[in-house]
Order: sequence, then structure tokens, then C-alpha cells
Amino acid sequence: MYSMFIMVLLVIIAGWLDSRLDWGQIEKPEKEKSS
Amino acid sequence: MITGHFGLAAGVKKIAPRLPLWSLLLATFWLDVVFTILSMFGLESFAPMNPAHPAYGQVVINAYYTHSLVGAILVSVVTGWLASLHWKKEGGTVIGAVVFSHWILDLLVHRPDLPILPGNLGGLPLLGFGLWEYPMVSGIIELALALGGAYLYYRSTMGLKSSQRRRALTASMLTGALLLLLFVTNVLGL
Repeated sequence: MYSMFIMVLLVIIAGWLDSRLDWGQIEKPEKEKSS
Repeated sequence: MITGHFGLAAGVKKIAPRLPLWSLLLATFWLDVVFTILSMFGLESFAPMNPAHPAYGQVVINAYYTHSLVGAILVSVVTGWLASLHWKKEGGTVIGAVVFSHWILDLLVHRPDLPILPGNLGGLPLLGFGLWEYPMVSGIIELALALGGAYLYYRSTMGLKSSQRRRALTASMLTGALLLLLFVTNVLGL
């Protein structure tokens, strides 16, 4: 039961915090490849 | 394998940063969402082996439709296609793969109770490597997935503008903390 509750919290809270970040502006990671 | 599923989903953000985290978290648990709906109609079921003392991995699962290999592929493809309508082909492919990752991780820990065909048609052998029989091993794998996923999520925020760093750190820390809390409650059978 507690696990279920935390799962819901995880989706809502982590999802909300993530949505506040501007992922549209994310820079292409300068690949570790270049090394 | 609850925590493991969510840990993996958080880690996928590293390769698909533009997909919202909620969609990945929901995708990783999507087979169980469909399972919950079917169980309401009595088509599938889930019960602790010892209801008086529920324990980690000690469960009897009858999920012959959603958790059959073919059923899981079908749900993954349909979900991926639906996701592609909103997040384009690339996003849909990632979502579909995350949905199917649920079955792969379940294959590791479930006792042989995963059929190949829906409804166990043909009575083919049931699948499952049964790592739940070794709770320490399955627990370590879950913890590694949770910590690894939280770390990869944090790494995925590195490409964000520096003005977003504080928010990114808060999101990473809370995601990691909730994954750990989920792991603890799951292992304690709470």
C-alpha cells in the first residue's frame, strides 16, 4: 500500500519537477565521443 | 521489481531528454496499469503468498494476458504508436521500448509464471528466472537500477542552461530520494 502511494508520488512529484525544466533548450551534449 | 522499473525509466532520460519524465515513469509501469484494469474484471490477479506477512517478492501473480510475451509486445507497440502521435516516431519508439522493458525486468525476477502467448494458449512453458527466490540478489539489482537511474537522470540535466541548475538539482535529488523510499517500502513489504 505504501509502495503504491510512493509510486503515485514519484510520478506526480518527479514528473512535475521535471516539467519545470526547459528541456527544449537542452544543449546537445558535446559527446564524450570527441575524446 | 517495482523500484527497478522506475529506476530504469529515470535513466532513459539521459538518452531521450525531451521526453517528459512522467511519460517514461508511466510507460515503465504501463503493463501493470493494464494489469490492474484487467484484475478489476477478474481476468488477472495478484496476491501475497502469506497475506499475514507480505514480503518482498513473495507473491502469486496471474497475469496471463498483460505479462505474456506476445501480450507485452502488443501493448508496447500500441502504446509506442500512440506516443508517436505526440512525440514523433523517435519518442514513440523510446516509449514503446520502455513499456516492454517492464517485461524483460519481470522475466529476471518472476518465478516461471510469464506465458509466451496471451492466456497461456497452447500451454507453452512459462517463463521467469525466479530471482525473487534470492531476495538479496534481486534487491541488489533493484537498488543498482534505482541509483543508476537517479544518477543518469542527474547527468541528463547537465545539458540544461546554467540558470536551471538549481531546479535540476532539486528534481534529481527528489527523484533519487523517492526511488530510494520506494525501494525501502518495497523490500520491507509495506
